[in-house]
Amino acid sequence: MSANPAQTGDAASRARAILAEAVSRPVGEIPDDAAIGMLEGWDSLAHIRLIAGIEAALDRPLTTEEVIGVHALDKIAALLPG
Amino acid sequence: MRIKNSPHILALRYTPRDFCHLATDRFVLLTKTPEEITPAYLAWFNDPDVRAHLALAGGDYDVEKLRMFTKGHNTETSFLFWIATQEDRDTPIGFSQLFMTRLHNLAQTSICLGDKSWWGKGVIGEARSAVLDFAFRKLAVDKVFGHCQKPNAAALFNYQAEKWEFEAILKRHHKVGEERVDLIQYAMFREEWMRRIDAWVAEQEDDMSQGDPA
Repeated sequence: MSANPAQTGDAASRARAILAEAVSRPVGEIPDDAAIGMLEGWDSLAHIRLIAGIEAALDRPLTTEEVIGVHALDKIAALLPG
Repeated sequence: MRIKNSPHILALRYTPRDFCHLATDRFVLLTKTPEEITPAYLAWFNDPDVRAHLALAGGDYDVEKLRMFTKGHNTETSFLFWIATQEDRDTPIGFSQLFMTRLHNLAQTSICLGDKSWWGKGVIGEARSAVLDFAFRKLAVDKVFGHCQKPNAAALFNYQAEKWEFEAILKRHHKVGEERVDLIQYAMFREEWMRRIDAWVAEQEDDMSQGDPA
């Protein structure tokens, strides 16, 4: 069984995998500067999946301050342990 | 009439204290009299998924209750816009409220997309932009603010996508079921709104000049 990319690798790779899954696109199609308004498929429904994905990866709910910061790939990576 | 140089409102009909109709690319936002509220307006109003983050007290609504809700609006400072498609104006898919405070020349707005078949299709951004344009350029307010509850990730997305300014977290401010949740406040200021309008106008003029024959 292959490892879940959202659970392995460095924070940047895991963030990319979580975002890719949320927006239903291949990981390779998620650019480094992916952000709300810049990435096709990152809509309100994808955002619900994204928040759930980050919380699953962290195994805890995001704080309000953290949830407000989820608007770009690098911000997602910053939430994940390195 | 049309609001001059508006990328958001294609048509506007407004008679204070009577009615206000805004048209966008795909939608119309219409105030209604209580008598115009029909059972069609209840199609999604009591859907638990829709009501989950809607700060509306009073349990389930029936037509009479919805008429009472409507009756409290449509003054010079309070608007309840029902959102419908251009093709089917009698079947609302959501609504938006706008409350103006004259003393401080600001307004509070909220929006709800009830018809789930329209979720994730950019309705909120398109409809709310029309409400904002109306607030800033017809009512001439200086600031509009809105709230969303922390668990409402879809609403948070919309504020971020529309580039509202984050203002504050009101700690444990609302009750969702038995849980107290934070409320997040976002704001849009007149200067920022007009900067966007000016940028859009400049882009249009640039497009037109590029299209001119040499």
